[in-house]
Amino acid sequence: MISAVQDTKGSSKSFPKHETRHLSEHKNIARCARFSPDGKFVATGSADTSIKLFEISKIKQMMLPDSKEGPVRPVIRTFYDHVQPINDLDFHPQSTVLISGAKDNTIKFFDFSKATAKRAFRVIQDTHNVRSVSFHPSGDFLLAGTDHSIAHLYDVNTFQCYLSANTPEIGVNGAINQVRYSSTGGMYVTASKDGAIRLWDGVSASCVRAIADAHGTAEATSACFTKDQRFVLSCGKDSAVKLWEIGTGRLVKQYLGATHTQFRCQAVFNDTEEFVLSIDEPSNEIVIWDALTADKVAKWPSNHIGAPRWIEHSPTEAAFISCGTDRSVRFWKENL
Amino acid sequence: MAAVDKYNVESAEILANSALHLPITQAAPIYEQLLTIFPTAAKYWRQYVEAQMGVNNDDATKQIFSRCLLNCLHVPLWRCYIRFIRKVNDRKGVEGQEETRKAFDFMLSYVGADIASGPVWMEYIAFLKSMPAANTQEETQRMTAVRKAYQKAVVTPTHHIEQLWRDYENFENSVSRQLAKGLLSEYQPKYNSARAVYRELKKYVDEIDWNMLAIPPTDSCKDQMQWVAWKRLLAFEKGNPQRIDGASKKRIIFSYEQCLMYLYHYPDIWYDYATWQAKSGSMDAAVKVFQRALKALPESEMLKYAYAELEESRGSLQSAKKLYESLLGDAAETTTLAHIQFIRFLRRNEGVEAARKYFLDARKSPSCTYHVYVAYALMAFCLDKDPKVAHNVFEAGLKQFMHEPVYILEYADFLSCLNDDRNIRALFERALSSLPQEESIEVWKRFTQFEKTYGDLASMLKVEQRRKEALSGTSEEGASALETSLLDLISRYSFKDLWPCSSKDLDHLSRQEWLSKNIGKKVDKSALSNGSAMTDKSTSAPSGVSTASLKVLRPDTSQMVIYDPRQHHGTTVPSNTTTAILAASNLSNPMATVVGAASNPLSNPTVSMVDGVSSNAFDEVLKATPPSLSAFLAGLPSIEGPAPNVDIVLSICLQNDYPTVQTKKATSLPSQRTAGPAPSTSDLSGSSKSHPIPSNSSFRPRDRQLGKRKDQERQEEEESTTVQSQPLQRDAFRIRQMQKARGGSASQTGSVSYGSALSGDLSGSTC
Repeated sequence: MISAVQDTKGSSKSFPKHETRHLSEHKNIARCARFSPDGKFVATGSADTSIKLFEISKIKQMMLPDSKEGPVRPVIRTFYDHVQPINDLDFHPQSTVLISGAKDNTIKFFDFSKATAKRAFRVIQDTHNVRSVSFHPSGDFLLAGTDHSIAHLYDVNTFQCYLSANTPEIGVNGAINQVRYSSTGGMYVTASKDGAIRLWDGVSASCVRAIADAHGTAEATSACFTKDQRFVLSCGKDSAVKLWEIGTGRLVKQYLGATHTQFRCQAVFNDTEEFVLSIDEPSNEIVIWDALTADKVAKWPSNHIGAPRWIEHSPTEAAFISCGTDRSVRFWKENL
Repeated sequence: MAAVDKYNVESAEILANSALHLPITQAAPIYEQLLTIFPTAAKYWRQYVEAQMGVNNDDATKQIFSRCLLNCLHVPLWRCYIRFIRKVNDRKGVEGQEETRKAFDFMLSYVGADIASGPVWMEYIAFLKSMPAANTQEETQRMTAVRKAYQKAVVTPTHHIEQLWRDYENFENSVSRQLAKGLLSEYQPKYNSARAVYRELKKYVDEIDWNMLAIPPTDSCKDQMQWVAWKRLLAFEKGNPQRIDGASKKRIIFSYEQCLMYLYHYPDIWYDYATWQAKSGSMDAAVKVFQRALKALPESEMLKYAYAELEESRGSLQSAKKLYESLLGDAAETTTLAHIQFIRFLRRNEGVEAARKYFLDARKSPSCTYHVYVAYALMAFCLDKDPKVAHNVFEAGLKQFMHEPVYILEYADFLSCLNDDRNIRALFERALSSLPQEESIEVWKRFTQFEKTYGDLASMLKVEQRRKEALSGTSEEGASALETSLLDLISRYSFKDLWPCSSKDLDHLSRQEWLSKNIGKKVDKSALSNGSAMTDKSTSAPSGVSTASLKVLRPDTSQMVIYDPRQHHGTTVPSNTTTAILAASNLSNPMATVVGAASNPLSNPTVSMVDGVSSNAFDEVLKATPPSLSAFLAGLPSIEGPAPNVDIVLSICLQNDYPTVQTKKATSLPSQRTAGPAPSTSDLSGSSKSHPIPSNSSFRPRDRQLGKRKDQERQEEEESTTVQSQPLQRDAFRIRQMQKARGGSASQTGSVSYGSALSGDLSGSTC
């Protein structure tokens, strides 16, 4: 790999041009976004406690230069049920259910198949600020990352909560910023305020690897798996975006040149995992690297006022979404 | 284990520190020991030599310098050397001065390119200036020497380049104003370029840890970053940023040498260095690098092959052969690969006969595996074009390696190159009769493939059936595998990447097969829920039909502890709690859920807890609710958004006529929020004692929320403020308005709980 880094220099792919469009406005900071696994929907959560659900086909219709039937509204649902800012969202892998974790210590379930439902049909009351949620690929379980240093596993059918039976020693600053399942559910990863990335066995919930100072003493703000579950991409407030090999815990790549020290910055793969996207806060830009060569291939102004809070890429196509401190939600898709 | 300890940096530092305080006779062995482990650790060399100089041990000092200087291009160490030389030659007059000058030249030719060499240049110039000059001729000579030194110094990117330039300007001006102009304008552009390069170079140099000890590569983040930093510096130097001709190569060599002081155990750096030398035409230098590399990493096979390759490609067959022989090492430890590579080498350079001879020898070696036979046979077949020899070799090997399925497959491949289907069949039959069942899977697979290509329909079907029968007992194939399935047909009629069905069909079929395999197991539910057990059983369907995408691992909750959030507030791992506690704790939820349903009856008819325990509780709560409260709840308006206008809600409420209810003062409620359920609230409805209703009027927290939201607009970082730490805000205006609206009426309790209806607030403070 070491020589591969050298050899692939200069052969970076170029990231295609995207067009961007202002989608909608929350009443307060837009804090998070998530695509459905089939890429047909995207939801955003805000500090105004609301959740907006967008239909991608309608967004695209809206972005057509000559839409005949006047303005198209891409927001198909708005959910109001939390009493505190929304932290994270996830879609059920099979059914039309959206879940949200919020600062009010709850996880709420929304059924978006019904046009009139604005409120949750089920609620999980947790003990802590729910910072991150992730559905198990079966849809029968979900993980909640909270101010607690261990992820809470919920059986969706019984609401029973489970914890890992043998946990490593985690200091007081172990609040989880993000938790994500791998594609098979065989593993999950947590990114914590103490700067560590921890990998957990999906079956037994025991910690199989802790990368203690993955981001030094700065908070680790995001972590996600590659589809093949061989690598984890993490992002931290030390302005680093790093790729780790799960088998060895080795740092494989580092994507340099984006500063993010303030917000819960995300680093995400594009749909083909050829590129990595993140945010440069000082210049208010979206930064894109070639995932293999780690070369920076694009830097685009975010078009938000103030640096974006969140960036999320579609799992199925060349499109992503950004959420801003300016309360707005922007959609980006490849120029065709 | 010992190897790991050997390079322990901490203990080395402790050892070196302890040596500082010991007399030299005791310290010397410590230094010697340290320096055999870290031969490029300039800081230890320096400490060692300074200790010797401290006791004026000149011979020992000289000896140490001769051992370390050329391998450690480290400015402080070299300055130590010049100090020593100056001291020794101090009183030797002209001769001594000449010696010192030579030492300076020697030193600058080695470390003059270092970014930290500025002070050395200054010292050198000062030394030249201090040379006595008896007559004008000597004075001119001295001036020329000083000028030359300056001119070299101002084109070297060092930390002191600007100061050196100013000194040089002064010097020239002090010599001759007329000449100065011409000389300075000649050197100005070169200096400018060097200074620009310095600024760029500094960025790379700053990344490097100059105190690092050379240890074998680890996977630690720091080591990797150092490696990257050095690679960047080398790439920068290779780009010849100063656009200088001959000196550029010298700078690159200097950088490589310095790099190897720190990355001494990195084979890739050695290899890069040597290949760079070879590419830039210095074959001898490349060879020297390889020799040093092998001294640093005597165990590295890679470097030996790389070195041998270089030697072979430039025609030094003898030294290449020696390297191969060193790879072979002792007969007992020789690896199979070394045998194979040596045979190939001999075949390339000494011909068929030499290779054959060595093969015959290697056969007898205990470490000879089937690979050697395969490699030699293929060489004979492909290079010598001699199928007969190849066949004989394979046949000879078969006696020994009948039990190796891979060998059988290789042999079969070879025979199919010869189109010798009769012998292939014979080989398969022979192998399958002796191979144990679990090792024969691949061979069977190849046999069926072979029949697919060579056989007629009857033999094709026959082999397939035989294969099924033979493998039916293994865990790989279930009992049902005996039946012919559609998948078998698909595998028979597919060709390369072409399939007689769509990928969807394939998915479907393999899923069905997996299901049918699990039919028997489904009864045992716990086995199914155990994810790991499931994956072990799910095998890919025969002939490359992939089922990988279907594997999902499920959590095995029996390996975890149950966590009941409400009972163990904030504790990390609770003791095993019973479900009874959970059931009890669930009681606190339904109230809010009921209220939520009542408040917006049209919105979502499915509002309920799925959990059986809690749905019972739900009914209980319904029954327990006093009629007045139920009526009140039913009368609540449906609202939009998270923050309904309290005044509107109140006005609607007040229009309704509720039965009289006993009350509390609304104004006292906010303070109760943090104190948990107030005792006074729970006697509002007698039955709710066991499950206190979320008692806090939640239009209060709601108001607070509004206020907080405004705060957030001002204060960006929301993470830092926590719910509990915020003081509750009282909206005095609303309270007064409410009281006014209620007038003298004593009934206010309704407001105590209806608030929670508005928000569905299941606030954690209820437990």
